[in-house]
Amino acid sequence: MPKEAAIIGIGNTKAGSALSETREKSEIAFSAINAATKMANISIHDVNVTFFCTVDAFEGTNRLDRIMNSFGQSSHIPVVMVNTGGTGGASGFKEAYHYVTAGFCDIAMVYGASTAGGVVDAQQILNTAAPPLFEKPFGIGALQMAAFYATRYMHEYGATEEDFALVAAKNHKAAMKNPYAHIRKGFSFEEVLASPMIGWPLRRYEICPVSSGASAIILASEEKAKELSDTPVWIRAVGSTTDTFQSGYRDYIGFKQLRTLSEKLYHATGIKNPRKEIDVVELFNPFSPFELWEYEALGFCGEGKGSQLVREGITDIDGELPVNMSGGTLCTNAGISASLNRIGDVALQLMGKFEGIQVRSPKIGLAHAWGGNLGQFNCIAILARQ
Amino acid sequence: MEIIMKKEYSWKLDYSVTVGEVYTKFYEGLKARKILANKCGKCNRVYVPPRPFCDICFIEPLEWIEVDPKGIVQTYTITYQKFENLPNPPYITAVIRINGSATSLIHFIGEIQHEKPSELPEKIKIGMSVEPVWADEREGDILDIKYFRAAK
Amino acid sequence: MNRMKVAIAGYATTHYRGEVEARADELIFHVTRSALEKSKITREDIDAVVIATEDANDGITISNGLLVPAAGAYNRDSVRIETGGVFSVVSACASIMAGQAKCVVVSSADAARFDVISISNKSYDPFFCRPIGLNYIVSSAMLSAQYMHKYHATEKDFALLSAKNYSAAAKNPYAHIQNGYSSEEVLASPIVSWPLHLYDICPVSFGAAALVLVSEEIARRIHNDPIWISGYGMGSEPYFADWDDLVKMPGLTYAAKSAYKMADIKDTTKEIGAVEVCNLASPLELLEYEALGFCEEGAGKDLLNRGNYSREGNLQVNLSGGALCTNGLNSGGLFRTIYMAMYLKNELPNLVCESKKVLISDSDFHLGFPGGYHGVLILERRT
Repeated sequence: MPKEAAIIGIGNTKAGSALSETREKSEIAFSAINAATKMANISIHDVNVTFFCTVDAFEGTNRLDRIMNSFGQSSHIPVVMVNTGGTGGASGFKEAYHYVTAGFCDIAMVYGASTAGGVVDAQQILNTAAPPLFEKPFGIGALQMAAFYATRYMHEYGATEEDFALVAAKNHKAAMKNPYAHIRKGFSFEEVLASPMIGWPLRRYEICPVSSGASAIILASEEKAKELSDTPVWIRAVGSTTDTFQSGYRDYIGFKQLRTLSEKLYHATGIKNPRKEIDVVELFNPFSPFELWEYEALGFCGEGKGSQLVREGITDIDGELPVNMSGGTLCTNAGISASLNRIGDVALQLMGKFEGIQVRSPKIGLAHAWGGNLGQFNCIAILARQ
Repeated sequence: MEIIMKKEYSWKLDYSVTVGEVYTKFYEGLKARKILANKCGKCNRVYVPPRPFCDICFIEPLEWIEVDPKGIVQTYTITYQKFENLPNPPYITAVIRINGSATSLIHFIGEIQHEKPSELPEKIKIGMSVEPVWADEREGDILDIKYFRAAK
Repeated sequence: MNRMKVAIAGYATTHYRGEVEARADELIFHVTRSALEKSKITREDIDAVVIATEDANDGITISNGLLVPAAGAYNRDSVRIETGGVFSVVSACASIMAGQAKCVVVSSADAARFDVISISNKSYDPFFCRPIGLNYIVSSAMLSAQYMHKYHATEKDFALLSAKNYSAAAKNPYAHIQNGYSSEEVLASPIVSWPLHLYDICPVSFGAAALVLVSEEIARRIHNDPIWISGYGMGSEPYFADWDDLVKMPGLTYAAKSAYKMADIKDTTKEIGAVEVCNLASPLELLEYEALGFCEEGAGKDLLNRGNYSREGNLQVNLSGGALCTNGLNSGGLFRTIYMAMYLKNELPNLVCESKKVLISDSDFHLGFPGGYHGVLILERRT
């Protein structure tokens, strides 16, 4: 019977624009790690192993973890560098979860790095991720990846540009109340629709910024969690799935692999009706329409019905299932930290410590991360207060 | 016999990194021909280059001091082979402990009298005292120190 | 923690060379298929994949996208670890011991040609070390010079050590450099960065390796004599370092202590039969002997001179020829692990194994000093 593990500490830095960041990378790390260890009632030297998550090319230094020296290297503790692209933070979290429940360590830390002070033009980096012989020459980057899905969604289910603007506005409104979010302008539905078209059908305010911010999460074994924390958030399941690299296999209709992964984890955790049984959700939505087909893949509604959930307010704070009350990745996209933030924000909500729109007494939460060439990878974490 | 093709490409990516407050202060010091260090209030370790946080105590070292820029050579090497984008050989790289710093600084050593490059390993002694030679034009960079030389 | 209950059910490696004609995903596909066949496990039984590479060594961003499917990851869990082969094996062990997987493929490949020195330089901080051209050769040289000074070792000692490795590699069909250079030839080779001669420094090698790790239950069901992973350890050294500490490689000692405790090893030279250490530059091997506890501080070169590390001695070190003769930047750790597994199973020509336990130590020295990470694995045959 595998052991239990819990989240006992979360530390975030206040996000801002990557280009106007004044803090050096290890200064940012110090800030996030300090906050996380404080909440966990431990010192950095109590951590047994750190999982450092980033994409080297975004940072400008290969194996950045070494030079930051922020993770306990002075005590010689191991640092494991995890790089799975956009899902990096979630992958690192999964590694930590395995180590703790395997009995390899009592306390693990996961650090999601920001791209602060990284590459001047991020889009070209993402272009290097595309299959070099057949996709890269066509200027494929994150934006095109998203636009392909959006166009198809409109075609298949009659979704409209207004639907995309509505879900964006919900996120912007929530981010205004979140002191850690980057974009806190609270753009309204009309303002989103009026924003310039960047890559049809996606408009500027439906597309994430490049943010600077980092986060750290501390996990502990059952015994240590009970000893150190009054509000441990138990990890019920963490899983990931892998798609093909060449995107020629994809049909751009929904995130099929995410659906399969969610069914597997719901089965493992005994969740039969996710919309009813889950209380708080953070989804990976660097482009606002992602949220809609993520609702569908995760079983919150039928296929093509994502827009309806938003129109009916079901995924807003007063609805049945609040989603992205942090403002999501749409409003704060701090590099690889973004995938860890989803988990951290759900945990904070479950602890009742979320600084922003706090969901009322949530008991079960779900966090999602997405990344890789045209969404090759998906990760889900299911967390619970009891 | 089929020929397997090769595809050549290179990454030419421009980066801009934030130096941060602590290193900026150090760089400003170099511009003024000073070596600044910071000190941890708990363990009293002095750091050159300064650290944004003490790695042992994990708190910010808040005290700043200007140190006597002399250092001791802990080890060194002489590179005799030319590598792309790296200095022309022979050049001497050394690990230097600046005046009681808890961590080591790495830099070049220059002005070593010699007739043949092969003599160089013998001319440098571990434990020798060195001092910085400043560049005439300084812009706030580690290379504001051109190299270190045997202390006079 | 409880005893580790993970076995190596199968493995495969290519013959390493100085040239490569296939892409990394093609190489990984082939070694994975070979490893599965050897394991008597089908692709359907794979639960997860771990890839051990760095983006920089692959010349691709998020290279795990290309590589994990080649090791069978479609529709499965996968992860990519950038801190080397041993760390990747530990990741697989964690998922098995956590009950999340019963069968995990760990694989890696080196198939991209690039300027290794440049990448090493770009692994240093941009403020203090990168501008002065620091890289793994220069920093390894300085560490070697420090050791020479402290313990009165000589260039000749290092050349002897290099020759020992070349001699072992000459008998290893999987090794890259099989020239068997003598210590005279090493000393005659040009000095690259004093005190390192050209032949004291590793080559750049291309190839691929894969392992299949399984839970105890599967191991017992399918195999009558699997190789067990009885211990592991991981450690690090600070990047902002005092070089007087660095020469002792405290991160490796930390990792080794962990591994010895887990594998219940009290006297290393008696209980361990063979060892592979990461010797990208020859002198580093001496520092590693000491850090691993095979001898007192500074006694490394004495052990070497007494011949304890030749094939005829008590403790066999770098029977593969080590990283000095085969240096897959991504796959070296897995390659040396597989070599030790083959040794334990008596599958290597020219070698007879009478030991039950072997040790592999893998480090990211290709990035340079300081700031190194170390992984130690102990493999065991229990029959």
